[in-house]
Amino acid sequence: MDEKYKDGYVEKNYMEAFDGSGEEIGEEVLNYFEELFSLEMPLGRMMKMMPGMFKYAKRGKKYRKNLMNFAPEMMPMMKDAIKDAVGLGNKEERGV
Amino acid sequence: MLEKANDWSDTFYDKWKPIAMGFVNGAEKCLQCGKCTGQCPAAAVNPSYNPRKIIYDLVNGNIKRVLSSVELWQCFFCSGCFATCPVDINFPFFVFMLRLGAMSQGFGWEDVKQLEKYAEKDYLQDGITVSPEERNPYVIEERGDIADIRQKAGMPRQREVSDEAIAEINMISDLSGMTNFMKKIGGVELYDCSKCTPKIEEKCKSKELPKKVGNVKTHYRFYNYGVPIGGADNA
Amino acid sequence: MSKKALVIGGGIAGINAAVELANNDKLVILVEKNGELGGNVNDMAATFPELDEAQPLLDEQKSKVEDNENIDIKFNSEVISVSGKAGDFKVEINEDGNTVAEEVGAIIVATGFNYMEPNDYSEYGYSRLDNVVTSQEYERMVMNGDIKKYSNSNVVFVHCVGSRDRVKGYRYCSKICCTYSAKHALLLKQEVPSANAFVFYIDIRALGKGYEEFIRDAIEDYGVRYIRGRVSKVINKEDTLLVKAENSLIGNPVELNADLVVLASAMEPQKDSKELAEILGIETDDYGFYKEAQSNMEPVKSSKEGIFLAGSCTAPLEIRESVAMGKAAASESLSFLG
Repeated sequence: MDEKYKDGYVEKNYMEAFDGSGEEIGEEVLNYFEELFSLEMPLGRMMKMMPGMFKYAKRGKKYRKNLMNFAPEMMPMMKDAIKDAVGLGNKEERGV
Repeated sequence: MLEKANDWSDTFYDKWKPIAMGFVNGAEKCLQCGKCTGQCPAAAVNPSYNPRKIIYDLVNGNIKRVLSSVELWQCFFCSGCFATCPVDINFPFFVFMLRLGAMSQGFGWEDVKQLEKYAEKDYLQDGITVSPEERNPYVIEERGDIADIRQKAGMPRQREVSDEAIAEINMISDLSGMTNFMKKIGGVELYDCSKCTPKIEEKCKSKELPKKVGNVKTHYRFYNYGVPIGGADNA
Repeated sequence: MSKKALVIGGGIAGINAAVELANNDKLVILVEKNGELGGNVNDMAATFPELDEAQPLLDEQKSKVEDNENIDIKFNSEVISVSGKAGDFKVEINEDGNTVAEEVGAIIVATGFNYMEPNDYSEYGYSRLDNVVTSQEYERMVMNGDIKKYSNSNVVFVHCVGSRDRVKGYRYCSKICCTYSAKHALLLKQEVPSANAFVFYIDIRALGKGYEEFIRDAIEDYGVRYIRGRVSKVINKEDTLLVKAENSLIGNPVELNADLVVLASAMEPQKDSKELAEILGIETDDYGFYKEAQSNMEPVKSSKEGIFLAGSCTAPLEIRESVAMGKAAASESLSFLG
């Protein structure tokens, strides 16, 4: 083929860009979505949020007070997360 | 290589609907009438972008074609298609979700990378969502610079955001995982440079593209829905 | 003694039902809410798939009713109440403000349909832009010769305005629009050969004898251009109209300068069809069309014994089908007329 026409889009096509079958790729993407949009709050996820809150609180007294306003809303979530992590089986599967 | 219909994922769309909590639905009602594409400003500029075809592929589970396409990244969320759709499909939401899916498969990071500076400087540092650098030259010509207008009206040239609010924005960014995401974008490298042609190289020099830093790789994308007018170089 | 029959609606279905009964020596009361017979066919320039002039055909039908002494036509009248059972209905009719009581053996409902006003379609600019008309208005333009002024111009026909649209219209297909838009394009080409006709369609549904050939003839012999795609927008641009759509067979958006846009508006049930259903005690579907007793085997029986259905009050129908239903309803009702 003439060098001039050798753009990527004629050399390869999208079917060669994936490793798995359509079903497998679909499954991978769905798993990703499931994790992304999950409303569950396992301890691991909770822990990932801690540095952000810590950084915020470190800024001063006013900020700490502001953060404490949210404590009543956050406590039940935290309790659930810890209970889940301590109480139930396979930790790896729960992302802890 | 011919497309194989038995490589389509029959279950993808059905399984997706509950995961997306009802935000993504109705695509199975599509009549393929093309009313969305006819009014689409992005399609008017680049006819290879076509919401109708993307919906078709999605419902039929040809997820590979959607995710690896350049066209998925050409929507700019005007929602005209949603407003005009006779069966009420919220297509922009599909695009939003599918882009996340494409990124999970390693496509399209270079486009996201271009937004990095706005996210870092304007959003996280200054706490504003509209960048003063990103002004429409047409508007500047017709109406003047917004900063000047603000100044004339006795306001600061740029909207001032309190430290407290900026700290909150940063915390939200940390909590929601956006900060992590930004770190990832910092590490984007272009994967398919071996396929580079002199023409593309020229373009690469004139337009800053992400440097090799970290570990996320972005794949070469394809014009899966037709070659744009004037060839791929013209896109 | 034989009983009278009541026919509600003086359109093409009602006329045929009444004539059929009268020819069997039955007395018929024909209730028409307007001042003339003919219904929606009055607005029609020509028929399809044979391009005969519609008005002479209709006049012939009308004269059969008007000259028949067995038929008592009540213009400007409405049915107010119905009681009793099959073979022995007591009906009250409001005729020009006076209430008349009648006893009838059977009732034939042939109230017909209504062309939807596409006012919700702001993207097509109906009633806002001058040269955007519905198909009903276009037929009138053909009849009074207004169409002649569109020489050397582009005329766009838009399918499925209000049909196959869950948001602004109805979910059903209006069935006849594909063929009557082809008829419109053909009439344009015959009256004004210098004009160009473009038809935007989603699918072509030519579900009748000779319809497919009719549409193919429009494409092959008259050069009517068919573009697959629902029109997205009609905007005003320097005296002309700009039509935006997707050519979905090619997959690219297209623009077209047009001088006249004709919207094939959906056939909808009469506005008061549900109220009449309540008076008669018969069932309707969600849209307001009357339900048959059994959709395949009993197409003209309503859900109540002694009440029969004819024409496009049951679903969007073409003339041929409406006539057939009118006659079928007449013959089924004979058994209740003693």
